Amino acid sequence: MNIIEQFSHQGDTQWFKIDEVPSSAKKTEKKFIAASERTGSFHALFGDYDMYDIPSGFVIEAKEDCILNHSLAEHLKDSELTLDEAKVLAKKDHRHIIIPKGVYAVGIQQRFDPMSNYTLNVLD
Amino acid sequence: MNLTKKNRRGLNLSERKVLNLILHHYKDILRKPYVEQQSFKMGISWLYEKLFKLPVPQIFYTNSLDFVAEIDEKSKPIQQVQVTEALYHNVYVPIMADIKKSNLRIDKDFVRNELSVPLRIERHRTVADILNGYRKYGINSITEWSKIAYMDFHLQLGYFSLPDFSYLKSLYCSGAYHIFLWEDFVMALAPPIIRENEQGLLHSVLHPAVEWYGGPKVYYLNGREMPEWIYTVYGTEAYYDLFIRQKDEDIKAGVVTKVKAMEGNTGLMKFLKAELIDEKEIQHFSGYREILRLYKTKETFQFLQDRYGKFGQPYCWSEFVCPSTGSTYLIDNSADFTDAVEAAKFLRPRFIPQTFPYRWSYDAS
Repeated sequence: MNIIEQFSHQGDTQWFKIDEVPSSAKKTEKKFIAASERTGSFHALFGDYDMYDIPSGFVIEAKEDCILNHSLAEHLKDSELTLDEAKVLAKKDHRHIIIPKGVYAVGIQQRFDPMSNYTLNVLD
Repeated sequence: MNLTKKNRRGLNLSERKVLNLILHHYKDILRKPYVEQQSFKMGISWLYEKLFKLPVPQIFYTNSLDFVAEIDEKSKPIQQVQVTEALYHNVYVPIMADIKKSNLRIDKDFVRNELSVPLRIERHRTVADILNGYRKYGINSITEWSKIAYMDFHLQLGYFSLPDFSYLKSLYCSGAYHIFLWEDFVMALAPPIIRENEQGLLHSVLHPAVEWYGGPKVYYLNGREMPEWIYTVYGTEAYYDLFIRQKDEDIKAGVVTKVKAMEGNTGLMKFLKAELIDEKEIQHFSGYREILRLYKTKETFQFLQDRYGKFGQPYCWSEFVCPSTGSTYLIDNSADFTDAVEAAKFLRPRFIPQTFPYRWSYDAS
């Protein structure tokens, strides 16, 4: 995977521009990039894009300007919006970000556990 | 008239004028420190007599939930869904019929969006959720306002009529913040004390961010709900142990925010029993500068390893400040780092090589 730019972040979700979808990436259904069980909040991309699984994250191929929302699951339910529509939802903590057309690798910020010597996704 | 996809600029002069009036009017109601009892009673009487076909109930005005259990024993609760259904059949269906007849196409989200930010409807939705955690049967007036204001806007413009609207508005806009209904009783809960930070997020380092005198209270720091121990255990030895054991980064950030606000940076270092190892300022895209810091405890611990598996390390944290909320996060890191930027690079997703530069090129929130 050829990383081009450390592009953008919304809270602990970090976006990196890459040159193309890696051949090993496996296409998947659109889903939340991250969700917090404790707060009921989520980070999710809305708009026309394809999503792929990679180890430790996702690859996103945005076909148009998409909207990265940080919102509450109940707002999504209220709005009857789907992940296919590039719309801004009521924000939870982080304002929305426009993700322009392009290919991105997306992952979660890590924390180091000095007890186990592992790096893990941060929890919130 | 077609209001679909309208923005404020797309409104004509009289529509803009009415929208501004509505906005000011609802802001004024929000500032009301008391319930207008006569008006509220008018709304309740209409709801019970006309929609529920029940006698007018006894109304209590309160700022606590102390009597809820007692009333439960005396009368059957009326659930939120019963209110919603009654309003749907008697108010919303006739309006929708009028809209259909007149070929008006109105974007429901338009007025809602125009009002939700200045009136901070979402914040009140959070408060309503807190109350729902205590007691599920209530209705929150303010979270209903987007619907009421939507109707008010179009009624004032004369786009349709609704003879009972004044009763509906009396029910929701008389200053009763949350309403609990039983067949024979109504409890009108006064507005809570709400504390927030400069960005309008629920926040207080000293008190609950939302509280009713003698009633429920919840703690928030920079918009994130916090456990009560952050406030009650503060100042004791146990506080540090709770911080070290905590896995949730938001709660850890809450402890840091509390200690920093109470004791400043020097106090924070003392609390962490740590010292600043390195500090670097990064200029990301235009207008976004970030200060990265690296801390380590002075003491080392036999059970702690660094990323190379070497035991006998201190605790080590990389500090990040969230550009949206202003919360300070101390993320656990490997103690072999001595450079704040190199340490921050190590905490990026695993597929990013350590050698790749740390600089956001586009946006951060």
